[in-house]
Amino acid sequence: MIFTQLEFLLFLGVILAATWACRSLRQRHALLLVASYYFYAYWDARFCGLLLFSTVVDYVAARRIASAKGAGKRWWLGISLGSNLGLLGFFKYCNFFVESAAELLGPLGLSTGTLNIILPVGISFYTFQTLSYTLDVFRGKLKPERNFVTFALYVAFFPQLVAGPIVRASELLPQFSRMPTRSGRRFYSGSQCVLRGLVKKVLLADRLGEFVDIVFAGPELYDSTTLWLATLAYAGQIYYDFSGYTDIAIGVAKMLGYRFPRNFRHPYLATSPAQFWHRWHMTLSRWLRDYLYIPLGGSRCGALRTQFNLTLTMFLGGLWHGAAWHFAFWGLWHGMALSLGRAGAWFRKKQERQAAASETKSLPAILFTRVIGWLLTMLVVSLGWVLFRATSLDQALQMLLRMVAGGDGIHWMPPLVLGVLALMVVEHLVWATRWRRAMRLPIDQWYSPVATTLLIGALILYAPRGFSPFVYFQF
Amino acid sequence: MGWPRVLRNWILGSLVGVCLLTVTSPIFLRSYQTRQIDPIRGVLVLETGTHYRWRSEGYATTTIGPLGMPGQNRYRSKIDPVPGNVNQPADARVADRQVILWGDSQLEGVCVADRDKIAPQVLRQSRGRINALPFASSGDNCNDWLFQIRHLESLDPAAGQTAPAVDAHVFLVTEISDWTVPVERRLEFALRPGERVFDRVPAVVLQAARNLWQDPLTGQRRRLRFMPCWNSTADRGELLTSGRGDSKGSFGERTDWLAKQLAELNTITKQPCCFVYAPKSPAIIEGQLKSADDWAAEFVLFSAICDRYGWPVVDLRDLMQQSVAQGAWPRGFDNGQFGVGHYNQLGNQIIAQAIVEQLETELFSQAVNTQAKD
Repeated sequence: MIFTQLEFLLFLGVILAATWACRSLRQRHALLLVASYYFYAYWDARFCGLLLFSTVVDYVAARRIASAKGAGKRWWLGISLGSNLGLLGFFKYCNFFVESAAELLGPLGLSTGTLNIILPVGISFYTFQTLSYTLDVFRGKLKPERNFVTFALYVAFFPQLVAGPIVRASELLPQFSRMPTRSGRRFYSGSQCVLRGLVKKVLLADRLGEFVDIVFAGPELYDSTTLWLATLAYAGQIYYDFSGYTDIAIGVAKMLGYRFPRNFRHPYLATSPAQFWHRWHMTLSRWLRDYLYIPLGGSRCGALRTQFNLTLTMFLGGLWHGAAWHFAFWGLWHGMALSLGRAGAWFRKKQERQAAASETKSLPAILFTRVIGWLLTMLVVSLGWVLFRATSLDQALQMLLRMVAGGDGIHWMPPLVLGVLALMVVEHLVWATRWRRAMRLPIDQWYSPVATTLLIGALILYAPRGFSPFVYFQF
Repeated sequence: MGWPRVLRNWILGSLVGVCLLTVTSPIFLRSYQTRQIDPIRGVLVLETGTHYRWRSEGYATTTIGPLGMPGQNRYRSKIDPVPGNVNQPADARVADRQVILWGDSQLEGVCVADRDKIAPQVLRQSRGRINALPFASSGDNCNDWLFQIRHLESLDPAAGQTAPAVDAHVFLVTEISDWTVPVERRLEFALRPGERVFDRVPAVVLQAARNLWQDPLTGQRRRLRFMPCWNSTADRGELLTSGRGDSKGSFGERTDWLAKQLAELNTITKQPCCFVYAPKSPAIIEGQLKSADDWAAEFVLFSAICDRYGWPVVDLRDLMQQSVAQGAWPRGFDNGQFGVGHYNQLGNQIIAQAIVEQLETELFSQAVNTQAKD
């Protein structure tokens, strides 16, 4: 079931009404668990077993980790990691490795068989979520959940099941331990969040996506200006698509009485690659930081090792997004950008220290540095999106070459796309200038009902025809 | 702020929001209009003098002229002694030839401005010598055109039924499949159920109802699914294949129908006929430039039959390809996509030019020669 489907809105209405009617925590959790499995089964019921298996393994493993001592702890952690990563590896990377091997062995006259494995939707997200749970229990940061239903609900909770945000057990399980208080304002705020997400997805992302899909299907037909526009449009599409999904997830959780962590903070305002990753898919960034980068040594083992750790973390982060070389290179690209950004930050700090010493640092100089930083970051991120969106590494490289070297072809500047991109700039500027409260449409402001009616009306009237699942569903 | 005041604000604010949506909707929404039977053409057409908005591909507003003609407001009837003498603009008055253009939505051209439609371009390119009447409607095929020709021929001027003067029939063929359908001599024209509502309900309400009622994928009535799915890949495959529109009949059947339709045309009119073949190629399909014409085999047969009846056929495939090679796409719009969809201003210009050249160099010059011999 997809958040933008009419069926979901009806499903949500029923669930909200039913949860309000629940008198006990046990009833509520059982109801939400059944609803979450139904939500998942709506896409493909066969994979509910996989979700249940993962839940049972981590439930048992975490309890055993907590009760075991010495090697037993590690053994149970190994079982949890092995089964989770094994499932993820099989379903997500098996095809990739078989195809890569086939490409490698092809010229030698050797052939490999092919496998047609369907990627269960949301597996990357719930795997990371359950991994964080067992790792936190192993590290002694979290006590294992005793109630199986509550733990199963944490893994399968439908607002965040298929595309995040990656909510940690330490954030959600304590919320499950008490009955949420009913609050009209919170409900209103959640519903506005849902509306905002729907508008982002349906009216902005999908509109941009129509143009992006056409250009990326045959980039060799278009001139370099069009390719640059398509790249920017994709930057807008993926941002509004994913942040739209997150807004809906956060809004639905809020309406049900739960709080999810933020996942986006206007990433295109970042003035360095590091800042970008503090603003983009924040729950994944902190997962990678806490469970990969820091265990690898983080920045504690010297400059060279730090660069290596950063690059490796981002490379694996890229592969997490998709089992293809262009995703791996996208991760590497960002890893290198982060490394360079880190070196740049070192120089900047040095200069700032010198400037502070000579008292020559002025506001224009700071602004200049920030603008240059923003431009470079946008360039890095945008070029990275070409690697991310392309269907193969070959296509990505060809497109990048055409963009940089210039190329003839169809010159296409769709007014609607230019309009949506202009809107994106305005939206970011409004946010940057701290008019944020107004954008949340507070219930007691005169403009909120007008804007709400306009947005709902626009959703009904101007939604593109066709069906576009969320981009992150494929991961 | 207390709840009663919040509630009052929300009721008033929602009303303001609805008003704003309604006021701004003509910028973005197409119009819905009730059609009516035109006694001269015998088919359902949009009402004369109305304005029809189209808001996808190219954004344009079409003025509906007499006989439901899109973007054409002048015609000469059979009883007019002097061409275009009745309160017509100067450029129409000098038109000494009048042809009817038959086609579907490509000829109707609601996605381009009136002056860029094919009929006005024919008038301009012929320097006012040829007035073209666009008798085209979206979804029409040869049965609709032949029905109208038969109807026009049967009109009795004595009974006050004055058909337009016709010097030739020009058919724009963008899909040969429009001619490969079984012959239907009697067409029933009736308003679709509920079409009358178009006159009474604003387009904004109709569009909202349509979007809620129709499935965005299939365009059929929306069916909600609440059952869990047991095989998502099979489900997706079904969705993908359900949208394919295969042409009807086998090759043999299609060519048989084509021959019968052209024979029917030959039977019902003695006026000169001319065909302009402008198929939807070159096209961009799934990111690939496709120049081949899928209907090339049928077109060979089509041309041969037309040749037998003495009807010229203008093949515009090369011209369209040359245009694309020069970077100018005859189909597609900035708001939609290049290489697919309807002909744009440039495409219409190429088609209009071909029509004028054909009519002036062959059809009408032959007619002049014949008259001279007589």
